[in-house]
Parts: sequence; structure tokens; C-alpha cells
Amino acid sequence: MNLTQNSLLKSIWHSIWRYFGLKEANKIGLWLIELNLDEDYGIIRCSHQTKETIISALSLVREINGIKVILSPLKTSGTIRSIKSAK
Amino acid sequence: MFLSYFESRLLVNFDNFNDIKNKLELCEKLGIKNLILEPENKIITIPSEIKSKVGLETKINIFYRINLRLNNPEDFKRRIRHFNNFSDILSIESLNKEVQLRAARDSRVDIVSFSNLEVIKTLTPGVISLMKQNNSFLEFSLAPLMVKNKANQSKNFRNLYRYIHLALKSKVNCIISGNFADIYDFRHPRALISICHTLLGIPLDRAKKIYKLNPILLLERVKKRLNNKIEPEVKLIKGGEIL
Repeated sequence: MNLTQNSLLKSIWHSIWRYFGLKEANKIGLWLIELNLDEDYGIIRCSHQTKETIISALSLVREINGIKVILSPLKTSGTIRSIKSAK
Repeated sequence: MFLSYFESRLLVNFDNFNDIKNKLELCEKLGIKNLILEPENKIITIPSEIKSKVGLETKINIFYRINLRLNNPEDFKRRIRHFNNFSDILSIESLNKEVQLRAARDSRVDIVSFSNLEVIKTLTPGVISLMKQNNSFLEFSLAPLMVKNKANQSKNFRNLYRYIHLALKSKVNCIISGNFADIYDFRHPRALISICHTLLGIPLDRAKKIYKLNPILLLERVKKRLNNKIEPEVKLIKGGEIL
């Protein structure tokens, strides 16, 4: 099974639940804006107060559908426009 | 000197240059800027040819460390003799309390490592206090967190949390390295800062200091040790000229 937008989101949510539980999960407001598997990047939107939580959760994802992956933060920004221009 | 975040421990096999190359490529891809390499095999000095070869291979700022795993004080005495005026970072890892105390007191030792889960349980306030007096560094590692088994991972989180907070409370210099064995466990230090902050309860500014400032202080300590070879007021004269 390949890496898809759905499987990625499922893994991120799984990681959030595993490490932070419901109390943090409901504050995140997670949204996958863009996923470009050809260039190995994606854009995730979340509440600015939960930035560290989401970075931790992403870092602790080790595999998706049996495929070993590394989800590493590249850049954080306050607006979607500036993060898109940073690509 | 302004440097960004450090990964303070990456095990590489110096006999296999492809292994080093692959790991460095991945680190570069992850955006790691500063890296401290440690030989997997029991080398006591890293040849300068390898250092220059590695330097040519990557844009990352590379530093080196040697880690000694010692079992008893006699072993410590015997092996530490070779490290007078050592030009790289020297760390000691031991389960033996006497060795830990000697290492904490010895000015040749830069880091007393408590990376291993078995070793971390032997950390005592006495060792921390001695290290604080000697200005040496206490090392923890986040590698035990990267396990699949939930129960083991939870235990490892608890142990790390407990001992890291013991160290933070005493304000000893400490560094938290990745020390990951599997390349798929490698993470950017910024990601590790987030884990330290959110899951290990370290304040964000303190966590950033651990990954940014403390490794610089560690490197300065090594540099200072090398500069201390010549006593003050003594000048080097080469060919009649004062250098």
C-alpha cells in the first residue's frame, strides 16, 4: 500500500492520540493543506498554540502502512501565503 | 561563534566510509547543520585523514567525540592516560558508580554519558554535584523513546523525565543527544526540542539552550583545554621569531 494523504493523516492523528490524548487533540485544528510526494514536502495547518505538540507528534511517526518514514519539520510560519512562497 | 542546533551524538563506522556518507547525506536532507560524530568501533583517536575526507564530503559542521565504556576504576585509570590534551570531545559511560564519580571529577572528561537506559538509573545527585563543580557535561539520549512497544516506551519516557528533571533542578550543564542507531529514527534537533518540551516537560527556552548553547560551551571547553598547553607568560619562539 502506498503513502497517501489519508494514510498520512491517519498516522498523524494516531500519533497525537497516543502521545497527547483527547485533551490536546481537540485544540490542534489539524488541516493538511498540501502534500507533494514527488518533492517530499507537505503543508500542515494547526493552531499556533499547539505548534510544538504537532511537531512532536510528527517526529514520533515512524512508519505509515509498514513503510518507514521520517516526518521532519522544514519551516513554520504564521501564514499559509508565506509558507507557500518559502517552497 | 553563532551556530544553530546540534545533534551531539551520531554513531558511525569509520571503517566503512559509505556508511558515513549515507548518514551524512540523510542529516543534510533533514537540515541538520552541526553534528558530533562518534566512532562505533573502539578507536581512541580519529585519524586526521578521515576527518578531512569527511569534511570534504559534507556542508555540515562536523565535530568528533570518543566515548569510553568502562567497567571499573582500574580500567578508567588505565585508559584515561591516553587522553591528556585530547583534541576531541571525550565522554565516559559506565554502570559503575566509582567510575562515574572519577569521571565527574576528572578535567580530561568532557561528558559523563547517561544515554543508556541501564546507565541512566545509576545517576545520583552526588555525580551531578561533582560535574557541576568541574563544569563538565551530563548527557542524556532520546534514542530509548524510539521503540515500538508502548509499555517500554512509556517506561523510558518516565525514566528520562525523572532523571532529566533531577539534572535540570541542579542546574548542571547538560546535553540531550539523539544517538539513534537506525537511520529512520534520525530527527532534526528542532523536532527533538519539541519532544523535550511537550513530552519531557522541559521549558522551551531551556530546551533550546540545551541543543544550541550547551554544545557550543562544550566545544569551547575542548578548545580551552588545548590552548592551556602553554602556561601564561610563556611565548612560543620558532626560528627566533615570536609567534
